[in-house]
Amino acid sequence: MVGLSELVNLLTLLFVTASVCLAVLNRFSHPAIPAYILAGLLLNPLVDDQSLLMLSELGIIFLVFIFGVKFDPRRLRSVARESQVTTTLEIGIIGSLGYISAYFLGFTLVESLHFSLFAALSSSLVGLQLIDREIQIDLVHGRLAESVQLIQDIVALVAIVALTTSTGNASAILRGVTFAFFLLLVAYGVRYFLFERLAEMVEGSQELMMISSLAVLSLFLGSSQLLGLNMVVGAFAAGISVAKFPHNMEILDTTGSLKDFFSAIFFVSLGALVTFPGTESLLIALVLIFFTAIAKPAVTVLSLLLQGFDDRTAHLTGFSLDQISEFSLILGITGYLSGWISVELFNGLIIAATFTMISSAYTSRHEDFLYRKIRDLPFIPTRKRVEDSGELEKLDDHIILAGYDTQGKRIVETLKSESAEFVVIENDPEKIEELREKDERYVYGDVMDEKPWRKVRPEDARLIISTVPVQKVSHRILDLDVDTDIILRAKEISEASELLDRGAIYVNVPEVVSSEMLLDHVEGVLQNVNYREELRRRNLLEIKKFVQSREG
Amino acid sequence: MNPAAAPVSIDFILIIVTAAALGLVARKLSQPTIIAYIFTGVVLGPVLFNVVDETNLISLMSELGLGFLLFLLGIEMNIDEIREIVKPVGYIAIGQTVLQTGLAFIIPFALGFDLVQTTVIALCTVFGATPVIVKTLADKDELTTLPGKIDVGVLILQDIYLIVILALFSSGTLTNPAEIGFTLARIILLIGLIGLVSFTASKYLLPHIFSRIADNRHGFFIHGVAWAFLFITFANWLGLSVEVGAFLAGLGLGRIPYRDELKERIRPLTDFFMVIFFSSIALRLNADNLLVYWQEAVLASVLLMVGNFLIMFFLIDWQNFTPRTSFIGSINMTQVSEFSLVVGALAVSQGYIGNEILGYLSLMALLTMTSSTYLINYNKQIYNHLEDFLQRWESDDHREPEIKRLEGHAVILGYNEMVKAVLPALEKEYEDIVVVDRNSDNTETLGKSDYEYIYGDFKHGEIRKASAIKKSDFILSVSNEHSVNRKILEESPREATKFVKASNMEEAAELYDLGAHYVIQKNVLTGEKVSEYIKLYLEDRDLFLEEIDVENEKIIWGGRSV
Repeated sequence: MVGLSELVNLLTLLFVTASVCLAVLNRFSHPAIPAYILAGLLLNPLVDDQSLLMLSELGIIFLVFIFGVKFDPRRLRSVARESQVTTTLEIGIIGSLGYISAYFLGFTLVESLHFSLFAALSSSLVGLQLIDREIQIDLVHGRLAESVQLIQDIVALVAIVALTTSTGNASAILRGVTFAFFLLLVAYGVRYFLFERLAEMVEGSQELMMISSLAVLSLFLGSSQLLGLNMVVGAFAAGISVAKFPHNMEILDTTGSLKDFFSAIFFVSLGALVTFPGTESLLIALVLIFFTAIAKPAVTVLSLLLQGFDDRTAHLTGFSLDQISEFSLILGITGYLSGWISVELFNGLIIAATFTMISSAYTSRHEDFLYRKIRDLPFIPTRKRVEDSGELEKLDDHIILAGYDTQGKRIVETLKSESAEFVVIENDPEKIEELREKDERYVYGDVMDEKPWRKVRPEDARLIISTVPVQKVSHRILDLDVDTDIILRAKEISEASELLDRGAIYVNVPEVVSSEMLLDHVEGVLQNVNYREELRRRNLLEIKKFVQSREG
Repeated sequence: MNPAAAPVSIDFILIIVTAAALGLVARKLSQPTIIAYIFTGVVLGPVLFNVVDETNLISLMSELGLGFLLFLLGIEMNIDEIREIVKPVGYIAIGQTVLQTGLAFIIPFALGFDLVQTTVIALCTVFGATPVIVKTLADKDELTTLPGKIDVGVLILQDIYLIVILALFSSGTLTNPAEIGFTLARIILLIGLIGLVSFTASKYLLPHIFSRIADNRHGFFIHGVAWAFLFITFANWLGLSVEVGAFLAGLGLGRIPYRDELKERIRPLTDFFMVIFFSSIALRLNADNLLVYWQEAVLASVLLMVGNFLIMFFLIDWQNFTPRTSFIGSINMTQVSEFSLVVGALAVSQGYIGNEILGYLSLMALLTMTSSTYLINYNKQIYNHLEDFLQRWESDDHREPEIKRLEGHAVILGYNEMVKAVLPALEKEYEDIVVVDRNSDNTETLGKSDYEYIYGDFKHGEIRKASAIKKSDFILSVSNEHSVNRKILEESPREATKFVKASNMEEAAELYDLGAHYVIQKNVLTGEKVSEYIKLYLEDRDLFLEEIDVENEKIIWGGRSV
């Protein structure tokens, strides 16, 4: 053990280096984890301390705890459904291929199991951060990626339990899994029967709310130790037990800082633990990179295509999964420190993780360029047939609507009431289902692709309307280079003004439209006391009508 | 992992769980949490059960706790908050420091402690407990009242005094007066130097660095932490204590527009380390240490509380404030600070005093803090009882400056095109408009505007408090986060007008249920509008082109100005 002031010096070095690396990578909008690992690699010769490892284990605990707090079973049920097949296929195929190659690389059984998980799992922290906006505006590939990540994270947790509870014999694993299950049951019990009371007692004190959730965390960690389980299980169970609205917001807010602090130490330590890599480590890293960046996306794309998703959606989903998971890093360091995996495998993992987490930022930024390149390769399978509602040949002087979202639906109503001829382009299978039920004309495909456009014949159309607030979609439509009138949607005024310049006849910017309405209401409220109650009543009525009409 | 090397040792678990349990008890008794944490150490340490030892990790965390506490204090220190009364407060603070130091010297000396002990005790007991006072007053929403502001002002000066004392204890000797003088001069010089670095950085360097990273939640926080550590090491290297460096680092960061957000991000970390710090103090004490001077401690506590009160009362009165202000301002300030334990612990580690003096100090802190919390909580009731008696200090030449408090104002959450469009209308109606936003692109514009601007995330309880949402009259939120909008509706007063935003129908329905007057739904609104236009287009294309011309013009102009 070193003295306190040396440890403080070490932390200074660690945080200053980390923040410099973060600042540099942030300029290129890279995620944080590789920045930390890079900082660790830079500090490599200087950091060699047991206390640091202890702090970094707190980082693991808080990472998993927060994951538990954010974990929402309802969301899992609604989102995960869509990608069950894909995720199962992906983990199954990549996992077994990984296992086989690990065997040929001469690894032991335990090492090979680790290796196959490293290869199969992707990082939700990095991957989802990169496609944050896509998830927010509910694009299909964003939703799919989130769904795959969610299932993978669960698999990762189970794997951590199974791989770390035991020394390898079957009964020990069984016991471990049973205990873990028991702990989760207790967690649910606490969540539904106990936590509310605790939260009431600390209501209004942010500090006590944090300390009591930390107490819950400590108790779960203690019990997981008593039961001989990995602390990750305790941390996850504790997260679940306190994740009750509205208290979870405050808990996330406060323990989030603790997570950021300790996980930074964890990720930096990872980099610092890497020894100078020999050829074997580099070979392992290469194989892992191949699996992560090429094989895994490929399997995902194939499986999505087989399920009937369109080309672009399938590829873009693949691109957002091409990095190594943060759970693999936890598995890796646990395995390495317990002597289950060799230093070469650990080195290889860290190198591959750093590389793929950085490269992943590039693949998702240049996703469309990559997609076009890959699609044009001769041996890449694509969907030959673009599904549609039929009767598209009859269309003439029609209206093309891209996007069947809230706004799109409203527009369809108008078009119908005006009895105009129209066709919708949409790539979300759920919305296509809706269109089919309502017997509207549609083409199932991505507006970024050419095929759907060939079907709807924009040159014969009267008007093209897009409700997709994505700049490249707008550009794509303007690039069709037809005389047809075009109405687009933009997120910002500056973007809208550019689109008008390039030939759109009208660009709607939701913020501009809503601000006029908002100003009317604000002035109304300020002038007349009764205005606001009337406003509230009217809108409430409208919403009730809407909900009723949707429920049938 | 090897359970023996587990970071979450049983010691750790015991501390956190006990602290949480005692914290709940303390809350029931409306006591500050610090009391609960000190008791945690008493319960777990040698005094009672003796089940927890001070391990290396615990000492690291308590050291960091202290550093972060002062870092936070530095960020919070804001002369602007007391600008109306800076001059009288300055006089009060100087008078109070001198008189109280005298009092703090006389009491232990009269009780029979030797000179070194007396010196240490005196320097330890001279401060008011900033965190306790600020926290309790903030909870009662009295921080921005006149007595509250006087107290905060005095505490700010005390904190600077404290920093010098801390530096003095961590370096040099306390035996030779000439040497003390020399050390003091050197310390003040060094503190000045680091302070200058911090100040210069806050002017030229920090705004740039932080504006670049501010939108990255993670990076923003790590930058703040790194800055604190940098100064800690810098101060260490110059032979000053960790706390001094942290305080000065905070002072610099407290001057940039991102301070509120940073403060709220650092606070949980500090709270966490504080638990460890305060409980570890009593871990060092056994029952004998704590109780050897118990009679002296009780006597000294009473004397000090009365003395502190009288000194403050006459000083505030001397500055021509009303008896009410003087009374409430001084009854808030009667306790011994938790910093007595900080300085005491430092003095023990330097060998100036033994553990029994630390025990004496702990006892005093416990006694004065518990009793004074009740005094603060019932300050107005006590005043009402004594009002007739206190009237004899009433005179005609009292000058009470006007204190502006946020009330009946408008709170705006987020800053975008929509907000910009409605702000002029709101300005006509509301004198005070608070804008809370966390986009670093807007910092410059909003910083220069007449609005009260807070850079920060509305998820933080303290930021919501700073916007005084509970007293507002009009609330407009354009935040996309549903949980934030729910929180707003829960916390805002019933009578206020509430406009919030939702991204879908389900959310909107929920927000109306919670009492929103109007829920902005961009998708629905634009859907309506675009549908209208399309209808027009289908009926008469030329008319449509004419109609949209105005709007397109607006967009083109808007786009250019960006």
